[in-house]
Amino acid sequence: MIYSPDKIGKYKGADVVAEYMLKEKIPYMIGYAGHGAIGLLDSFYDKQDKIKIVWPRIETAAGFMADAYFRITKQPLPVYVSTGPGPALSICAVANAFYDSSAFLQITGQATTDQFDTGALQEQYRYHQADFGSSIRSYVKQSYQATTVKQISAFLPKAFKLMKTGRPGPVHLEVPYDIYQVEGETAVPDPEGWADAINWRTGTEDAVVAKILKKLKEAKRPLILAGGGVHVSEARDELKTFAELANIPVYTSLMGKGAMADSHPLHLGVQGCWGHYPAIEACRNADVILVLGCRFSDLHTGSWNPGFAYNIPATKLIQVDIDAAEIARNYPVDMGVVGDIRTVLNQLISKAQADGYMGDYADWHGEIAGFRKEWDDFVTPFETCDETPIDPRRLIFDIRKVAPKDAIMFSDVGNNQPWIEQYWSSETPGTHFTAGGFAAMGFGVCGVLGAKLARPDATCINVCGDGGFLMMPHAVATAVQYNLPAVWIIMNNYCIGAIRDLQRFYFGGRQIGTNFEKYEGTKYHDGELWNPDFAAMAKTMGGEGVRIEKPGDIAPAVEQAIKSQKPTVIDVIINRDTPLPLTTTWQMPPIPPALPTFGNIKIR
Amino acid sequence: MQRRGAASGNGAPLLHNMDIKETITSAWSDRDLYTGLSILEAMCVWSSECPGEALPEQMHDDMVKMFGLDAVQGERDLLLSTGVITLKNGGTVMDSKFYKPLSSLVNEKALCMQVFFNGIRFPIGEFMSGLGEYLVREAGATKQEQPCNDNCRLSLTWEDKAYEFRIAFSPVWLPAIADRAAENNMFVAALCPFAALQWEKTMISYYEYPSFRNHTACYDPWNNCKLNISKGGLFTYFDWYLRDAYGSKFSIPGTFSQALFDMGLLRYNDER
Repeated sequence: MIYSPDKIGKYKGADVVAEYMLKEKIPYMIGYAGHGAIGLLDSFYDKQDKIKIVWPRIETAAGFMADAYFRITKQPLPVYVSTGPGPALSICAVANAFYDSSAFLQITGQATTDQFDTGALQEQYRYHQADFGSSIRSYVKQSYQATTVKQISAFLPKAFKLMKTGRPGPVHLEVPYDIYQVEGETAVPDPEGWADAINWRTGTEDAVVAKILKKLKEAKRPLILAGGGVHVSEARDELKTFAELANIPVYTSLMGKGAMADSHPLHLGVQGCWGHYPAIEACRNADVILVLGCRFSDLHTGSWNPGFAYNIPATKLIQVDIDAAEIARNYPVDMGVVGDIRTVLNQLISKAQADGYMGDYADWHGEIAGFRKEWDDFVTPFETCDETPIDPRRLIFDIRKVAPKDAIMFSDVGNNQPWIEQYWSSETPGTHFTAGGFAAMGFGVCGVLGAKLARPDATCINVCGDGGFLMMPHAVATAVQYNLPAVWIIMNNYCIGAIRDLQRFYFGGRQIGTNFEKYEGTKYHDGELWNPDFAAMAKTMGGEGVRIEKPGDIAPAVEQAIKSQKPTVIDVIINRDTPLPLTTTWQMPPIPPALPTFGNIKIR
Repeated sequence: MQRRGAASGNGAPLLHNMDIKETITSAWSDRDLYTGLSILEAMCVWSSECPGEALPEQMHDDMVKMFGLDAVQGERDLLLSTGVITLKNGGTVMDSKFYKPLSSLVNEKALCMQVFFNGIRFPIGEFMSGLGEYLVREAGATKQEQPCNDNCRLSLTWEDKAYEFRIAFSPVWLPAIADRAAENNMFVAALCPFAALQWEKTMISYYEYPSFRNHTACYDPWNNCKLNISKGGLFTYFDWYLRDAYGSKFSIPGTFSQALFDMGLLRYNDER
């Protein structure tokens, strides 16, 4: 019961929020003010020594920052917005978090309760009164609307419970702005009685653990797939321990990238449309895969076309996921296990150690060594590629050379994402982040600021495209304001490259609406390519900026940006026509799937 | 030596079906045995699929493209002269009584074809029986008995679907079975040396048809290549059998991929 008589008192609704955030030990509240949020902000006025208010220049950015913060710390932050456009603009960030099992508490304002169904400023009223909930419902674990102060007390601990337990996800709390101001008799609940008291890390039965080990032991070509669930469950250490114990090669999904150091001898890379050939070829040949927290998306599986990424069946899956809905969603399973990845891995480790289980699989490792050599022979020359415009691979290799081993890397969305996926070596587990599910452009550009809030001492880098950067260029201003010395490296190709590539490869090269060019006529694709001067933009916002056109200038510029401890934009002109090596495929039906451009043709 | 019986109604000699194998074999002694067997195989399949119906013109044309007009005409004349086939509506029809002995002849000969893996030469039949054991053991497929001990065929059920692997001299008959395979949700793979048989001129066009592309596959263990975009999941295990038993991997001819691209069934991710 949240109401213990000794704690009941008279509180304003906004005070309940602020007091509860103190109890949750929330260090930051991020958002953007409006008339529907100032009542809330007022209650934080005297608490700024404990909870800092951070406000970037648009609501979406606030959500992206909180999302990034959660991915690193597992602490959900409140994100405050006003009514109408504010909540609407934050939907993209909420969805981005939801798809990638990240979390924050979206607090939206609303017209006052006595104005419901009047169409007061920014009220959603034409189908149901005060109905923002209908807009956000697809992207949150729960949408609450508090119409009394007591309800705020009731909903807040439930919201944090939902965000922090099981499969994380954002939660929405809507508070009409009169409720922030009116007093009600209630208590500020203690988190200890809610999320903190719940043991949600469920394992599985001993017999199931024994059966998994038996299947892995009997396999000739086993693999472990580390999906995003390994990061969510914070099971990276357990993954390494079990993989080494069982001597089973590990590969990841895009969202799982960095679950194991890329240089670990058992690590094969990423499976997917733009993944690593050793992982992909191993998947095509695996007889059993232990799947840890992966939902087998289209980009991961070659759009489920057999032979491109997987052969399921014949490959048998042992799929472990905390969300039963994701098990056997896209592929049949030989065994499905509902459980927390870390807990199940610990069970497997204990049983394997007790049994003295050590996998051999020498022949399998030998085969995989061949796959590795093929890929390495292809990749290595790009490390020293001196071509101009700059080859995107050379750029990433040079960033890696000068960035600290534990640098936090946020890619954005667009071609920069798969370039980083394929060529960024994530050496410290848990330092690669990207938006894989909802895939919102601008997430990385703003997310890197959330990373800086979470890990002020770490080098935080965002590699983005010119498209994504210009969606959220104000991130630099926010960084200057709050002294968050992030580094943005723009892969500038004067286009939204991923979509332009779809036009190049899916639509016969008919490029329209994808190049940044000056409009000079009536035909598409006839203008001069144009972008603003990103380096100059950064400088006018108080940061540093530099434009790079020669490969030899990359490393010194990145090194200087890291050393300077100033928000810095490095605008790198890359070769816009270099296609990403396609290692499986991605299909947009009815257009047929593309053949991989690396490796032997794999249509079964 | 040919033993001839009484004349038939259309002037061709009548033969007892027990003699026919010997007669045909003897006639092949001064011909290209491989071409003869290939054509006879195709006629047997057609006769089995559509008894009493004349061989389709397209199948005849495919045979001509694969083996040449003279060879096909020669075999046709031979079979007409022996009464194995008769003329009907401008085409040819196999007398049903010869189907069994002639298909048995084709099968016997097919099983004797030699394959070469890892420096060892051995009969394709041995390859096929190894495949059968592998599919039962590794995939959990269930082997079906062949009604007439046809060792050229390996019939299995896997995940409630029927699969058939057939050792063959050519793939020319494969289009003839595609529709039936599709109707029965069955998957048929031919194991034949298609790479040496002008397959580009004959087989590719059939990939326009969903029944053909989704339900048939061709493997060539003599030239280590394959044509397969079917939906038959068990065929993955065929690749794995090659890998596990022989350390081999079949490639997909570039011409095939290009043809699929031209048909709009596949794309290349470049600007060709």
